[in-house]
Amino acid sequence: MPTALSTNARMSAGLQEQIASAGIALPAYFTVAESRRDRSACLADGSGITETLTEKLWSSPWFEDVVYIEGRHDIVMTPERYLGAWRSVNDLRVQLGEKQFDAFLDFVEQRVGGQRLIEATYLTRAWSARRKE
Amino acid sequence: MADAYLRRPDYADAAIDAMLAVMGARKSDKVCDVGAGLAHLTLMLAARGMDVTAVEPNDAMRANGIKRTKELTNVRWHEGTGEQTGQSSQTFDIVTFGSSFNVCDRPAALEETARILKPRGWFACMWNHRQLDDPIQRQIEAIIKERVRDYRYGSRREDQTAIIDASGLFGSVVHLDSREVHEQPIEACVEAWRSHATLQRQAGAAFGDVVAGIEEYLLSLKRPKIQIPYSTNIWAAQLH
Repeated sequence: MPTALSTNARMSAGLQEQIASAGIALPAYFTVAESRRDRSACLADGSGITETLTEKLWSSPWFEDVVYIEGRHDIVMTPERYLGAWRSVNDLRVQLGEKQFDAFLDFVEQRVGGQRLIEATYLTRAWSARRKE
Repeated sequence: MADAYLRRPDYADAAIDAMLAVMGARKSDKVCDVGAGLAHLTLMLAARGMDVTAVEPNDAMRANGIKRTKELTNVRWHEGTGEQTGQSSQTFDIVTFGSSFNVCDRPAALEETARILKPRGWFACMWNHRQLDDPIQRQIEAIIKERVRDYRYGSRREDQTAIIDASGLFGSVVHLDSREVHEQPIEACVEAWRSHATLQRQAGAAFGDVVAGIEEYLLSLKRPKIQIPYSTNIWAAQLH
């Protein structure tokens, strides 16, 4: 996974639809976003911290000069690495529960198994702030 | 109008510093600041040691900009637009658009930017956005929308990522956002609304009534100054 405070992995709309039709319940934080190549699903991290981090830093008495930076980048990977990346998404595991999470991984494995390489777009998000004097 | 533009708040220092850090900018890098207006961004870039060529099509604006930067040896001015800057090919390390990209034909301006940038040079466009969730700003929005049905800010409040990506000229887009609160006397605040070109265009004949409505509301607050939270939003991308 890219080094960042938070990363959002994206999957294609087709895969999202197939996951839904396979009866795997997607978590409530599964939201739709525009990606460069197609309309894709954005799986946000489930901690919720990043949703309010800018506001928290901004209103903190200890920090100033808060800057939020985000950038997308593509990573081409093998199906094994792609599956491993999904396996490492612990907030998804916690929110889906072990059974649903295993079903999700099985589905992704079946779906990507025949492919040689997979291109995944990541959104790297960073917050920077300066300690007040 | 130029006087009213002068009252507009500067971009957040932290956002400009972060942008230059992302770009790996060094002192004396050549920057073309397109739509430089009254030199709001030009002055910030010049203060950070950049060698700035300011391009501005409007004579009155340019005259004011020249006046405000006359002591600076690292700023020069030219007449030109985002689509036709009049600058030589492969000249600049950075090309910036401070609150001006939205009034350009954006795909054409990106083509022109790519032409005048050195290989691997950087493009950036930016705006200062009032935070519309602030209670006073929310009320001002309501006053505008009461009088101008379907009021839209247009592309100046849009995410610029898609249009930059669509050009196929640049690498991954980086978005930076930094906030600052500006304190503004009520009178200056009303004056700023008088200079609001997007509102003027969309309100047409109702423009005077909208500004009068905003003025009436701000005066009703019975305080000499208000705090206005602004967000400096920058989209930057490096030439392929």
